[in-house]
Amino acid sequence: MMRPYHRLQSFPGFAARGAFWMFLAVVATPSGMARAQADSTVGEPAWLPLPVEDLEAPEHLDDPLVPELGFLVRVDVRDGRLRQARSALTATARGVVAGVAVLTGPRGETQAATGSLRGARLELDAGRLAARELAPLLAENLALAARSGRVPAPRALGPAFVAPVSTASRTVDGAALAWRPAPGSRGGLALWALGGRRRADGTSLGALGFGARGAGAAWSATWARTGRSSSAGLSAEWRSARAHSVLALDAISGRTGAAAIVAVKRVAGPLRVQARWRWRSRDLRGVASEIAGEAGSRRARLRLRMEGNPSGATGSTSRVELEGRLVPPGQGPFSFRLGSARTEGFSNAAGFHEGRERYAVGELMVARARGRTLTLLASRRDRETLLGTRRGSSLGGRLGLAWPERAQLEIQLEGFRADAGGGTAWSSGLYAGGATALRTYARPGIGASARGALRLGRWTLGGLVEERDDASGGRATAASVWVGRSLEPGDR
Amino acid sequence: MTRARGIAGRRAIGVPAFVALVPAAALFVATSDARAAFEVRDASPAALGSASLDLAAQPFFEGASDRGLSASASHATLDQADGLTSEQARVALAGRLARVAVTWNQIGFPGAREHSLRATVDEATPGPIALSLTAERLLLAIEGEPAQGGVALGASVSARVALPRGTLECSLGGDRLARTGGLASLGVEPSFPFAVRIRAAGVSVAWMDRWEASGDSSPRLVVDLALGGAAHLRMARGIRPDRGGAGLAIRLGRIELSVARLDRDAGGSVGSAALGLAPRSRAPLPGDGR
Repeated sequence: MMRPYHRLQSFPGFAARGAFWMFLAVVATPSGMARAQADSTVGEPAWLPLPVEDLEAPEHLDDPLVPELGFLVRVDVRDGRLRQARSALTATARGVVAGVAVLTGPRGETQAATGSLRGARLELDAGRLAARELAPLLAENLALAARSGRVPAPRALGPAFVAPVSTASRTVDGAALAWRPAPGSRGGLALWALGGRRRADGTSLGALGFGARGAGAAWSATWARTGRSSSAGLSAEWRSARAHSVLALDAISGRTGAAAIVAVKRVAGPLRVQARWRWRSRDLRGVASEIAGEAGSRRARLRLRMEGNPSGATGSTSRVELEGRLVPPGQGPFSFRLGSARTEGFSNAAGFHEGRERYAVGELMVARARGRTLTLLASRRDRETLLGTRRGSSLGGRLGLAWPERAQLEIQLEGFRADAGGGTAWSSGLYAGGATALRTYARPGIGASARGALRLGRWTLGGLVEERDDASGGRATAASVWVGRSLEPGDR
Repeated sequence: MTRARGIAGRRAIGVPAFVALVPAAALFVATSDARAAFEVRDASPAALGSASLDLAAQPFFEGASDRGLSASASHATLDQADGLTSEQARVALAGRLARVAVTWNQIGFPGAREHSLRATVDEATPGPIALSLTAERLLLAIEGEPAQGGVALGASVSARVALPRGTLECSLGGDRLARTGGLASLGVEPSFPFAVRIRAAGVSVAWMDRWEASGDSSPRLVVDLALGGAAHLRMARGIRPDRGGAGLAIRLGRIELSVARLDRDAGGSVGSAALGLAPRSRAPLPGDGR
């Protein structure tokens, strides 16, 4: 597998390098885990792409958004050099799904290997594991997630331990065991256990969780030990009929003190409200909150969101956003986001300082017909700095081509500009997994990218190619190609 | 002082040619917003009338159902620089599914010229979204020096949306997105041209711009007026640099005559004249009212 990677650099032309690899391997991806974007922003689902820095798990952006894959090979290249390769294989026999996944680095070295066995209720994973859907406070306590200023959503349904999708993922070298309710059942008991060492620092780690899920409620309790410290956590969720009301909480007590997250969601006719509140006992300013209200019809909806949290020892950040989505009859949707953010802080060099930023993002589908769509993209950021107001803007378009049941292709062209000395601009980034997120650039430039997928029976070939030229004369290129085979029987 | 970077960047350039070409080219390109080699893409009257030497111009007379062969030739001169000219020849063949056009353009003076050969394939679709692909062969030829150049590829998409009494057109392009290595030393960079146009009853208003990788841009406003079915007036204003363009085209049967000039507020002007052969069938665009 290493030889083809070394020959890549001799291939003439960026397009040739991006297109002429064929990759082996099959990845077994647990059902429901193949999601490209992990986003738990209050007020989800977002109508416009979110900034990468606002995402909980940006490494999932490149994960292919396809149903259960029995076979997957994916290779990511940057500036003509291999960045990482991921491959996995699944075999099924007598209701047991066995899988192996390998993640290799830029020199072809194996950076992660994971094996899994899954039956109807019992799951066993071993090797280098990444945790998904772990309760956020527990994940922070185990250092399997970054300590975030945002308030994430509580999770009470129990985690899954899977093969990492990126070398940037926080992982554990060990084994995990899980006992879950029977598939298709409306509830039941669940149990899970994790043991091993954290890859980042080698600290021994162990966790045990158990819980239950019913028609309208779920709860789970966890006990975890890292090194010589231990912690205990509790998560719970109540849902009313048709999920019109949801109350969720997540609490933990351990070496770093106590913490809690409470989240509520309510739908009443055209109105929808969501709120999250977090408290950390050890922090001097331990409370952060986010709240969102949404109203309107299917043709016109508005959402107002406010959030605030402490930042560092003495600072704080707050943000207000207004989002809207308009769908005129016979026309494509127009989505916009207007926002204002404020950051306060203190430093020895600058003393107390306050920064403000105002921004606007918009997408307008101008035309749609016969498998084609054209969407205009625009954004603007005005940031107040010590040197004055610094502006950044972007303008572009995205062409979508679709062949029903067979293939799809997106081509995006965009220009972005940013003032020197602190100006930044957002550019819509296409990711191989099908998601789109806003990337920040501090230099002007032109970007072109294309993303597509071709389905032939149970096989899917997908790819992403992008190139950016900036004001410094530099050019950055990236490509990602993947081949997968669905586990679903029957050809389309 | 702006200059053609491709010429200034060459190491082994004959001194007399270099000394003569650079200031003259600087005057020519300074009249427009062009600042690097091969920036002048079109110096025909249709381009001067839209104050856009750096964009492929929209023809004066454009029909929705053009079929057959068309051709045109133009000549442009710079008032202040003796011998600095631009010539262009274009041949196009329009069919039911697509239109193919080949354009040859050169700018310079005896001893030093930039040549470009551009092939464009436009999709002729009744649908609202049409695609276009462009391939260019760019060549810088200086007497006594080996020619330098390369190939560039680009693409664009245009959308046409019907309004109650007109049409809205939007076009976005990726100009010279892919380039062979020889063009990098000549300062050829990709850019993002775009335009939004509204047509109604023989009048159209367009906002056009081209964003470069360096962050520069030069927006312009272009107004087109159809004077009956045999004449067309085009006027435009642009900024960065501030400039104005005006052009007039007359059609006699299948023969088209056009003249235009582009004047920079800070000084400098370009004049151009063209003779063309129109395709056989021609129906007005939706919202054109001609």
